[in-house]
Amino acid sequence: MAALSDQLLVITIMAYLAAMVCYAAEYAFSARPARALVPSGAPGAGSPPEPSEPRDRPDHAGSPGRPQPARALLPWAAQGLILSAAAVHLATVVTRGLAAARVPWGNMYEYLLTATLVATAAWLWSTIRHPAMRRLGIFVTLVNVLLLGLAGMVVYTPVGPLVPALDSYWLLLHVSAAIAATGLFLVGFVTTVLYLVRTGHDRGRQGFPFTLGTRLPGAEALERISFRLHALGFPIWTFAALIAGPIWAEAAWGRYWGWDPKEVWAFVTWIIYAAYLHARATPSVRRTVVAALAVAGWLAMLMNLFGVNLFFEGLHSYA
Amino acid sequence: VEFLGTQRWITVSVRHDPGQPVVLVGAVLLLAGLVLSLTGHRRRVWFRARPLGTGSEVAAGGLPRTDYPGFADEFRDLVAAAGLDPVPEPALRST
Repeated sequence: MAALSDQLLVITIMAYLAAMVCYAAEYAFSARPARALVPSGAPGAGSPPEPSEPRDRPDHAGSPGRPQPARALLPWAAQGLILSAAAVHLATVVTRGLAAARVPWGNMYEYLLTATLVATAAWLWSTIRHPAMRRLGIFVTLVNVLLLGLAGMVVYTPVGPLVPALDSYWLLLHVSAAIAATGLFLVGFVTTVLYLVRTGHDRGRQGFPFTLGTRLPGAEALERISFRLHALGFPIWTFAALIAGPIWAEAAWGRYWGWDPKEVWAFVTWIIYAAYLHARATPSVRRTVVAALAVAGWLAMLMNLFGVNLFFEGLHSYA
Repeated sequence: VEFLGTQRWITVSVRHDPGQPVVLVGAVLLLAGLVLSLTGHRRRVWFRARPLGTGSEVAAGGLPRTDYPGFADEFRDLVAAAGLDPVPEPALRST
């Protein structure tokens, strides 16, 4: 069962990669909505997808409404691939749990494995609520592939029993909540970065990341969905890090809070995300500053996940 | 090397923390308040009536305190429900 789980991980990563390629193709060949607003002499003419435009016009004139078959298939292929990737991903987590005969949240590898699954679920939910966001799939799958690759190659841990300190039902509550919040913040981070790209693009910034902004959904929609994801993740993170964690610590170690490195960084992350929510509710704070806070929150989250586990000696050193 | 024996010992730590239920209730209330403050849409609507000739002039104003994309529609519905004639003056300004 353990070997099956490991093989399924490889299939999961491959499926996400395939979905990413499909999304990328869809992204590259989709019509640019902002094009009609751009004067003919505007900079940006001569970018790679340019040749598809002139071909498009006569095509539409000749047979109105007939979509190009290959292009019309791409969204379906991408959607099917990401759904199957999510299914295999779920199977990877489940077989891992079956192989270890416990909930699969006992070490860093399993943490990342489940957090990326939550991210995929959160993102699929977002696309149901906001179909225009589907186009961001390329970036979400990219981050998932990176994190899953990191999980499988750097922090991989063979299936084993729990560290005795973790053998408690609080593992179910505390770690699952932390994982859920991580997954939500992950997608929130992606949409926030894309919001910054889109804003830069709207302000006429040139150069690589801003050229991506042409095909992104509107800045306001991106900003709003980022807030929704963070507003959902924040109470879950509060519960995981500042309520369930201390309760477990009180039961296991005799104190609620002891400034263990993981506790410190969980608190730092919580403060930054709290600052994000406060800044967003304050009209005088510019939205780009708000977005920068969300990015900083994710960086602290990564520090909490990788930095604390790998570089610090503490009570939470399970990696 | 000679084995001299061992002394058996235990450490017992007994604590009583009567504040635990208070902390628990506080934490639950905090979390509930947090969720409410993040999901609730605070908004204000004012109506001001002034006598004008035989009838009265009613002005309506609205202010969303949190980001709420549906506020403009809701405000329009409220003004319509109050039976007011829509005035072309743009009375709605977002913060």
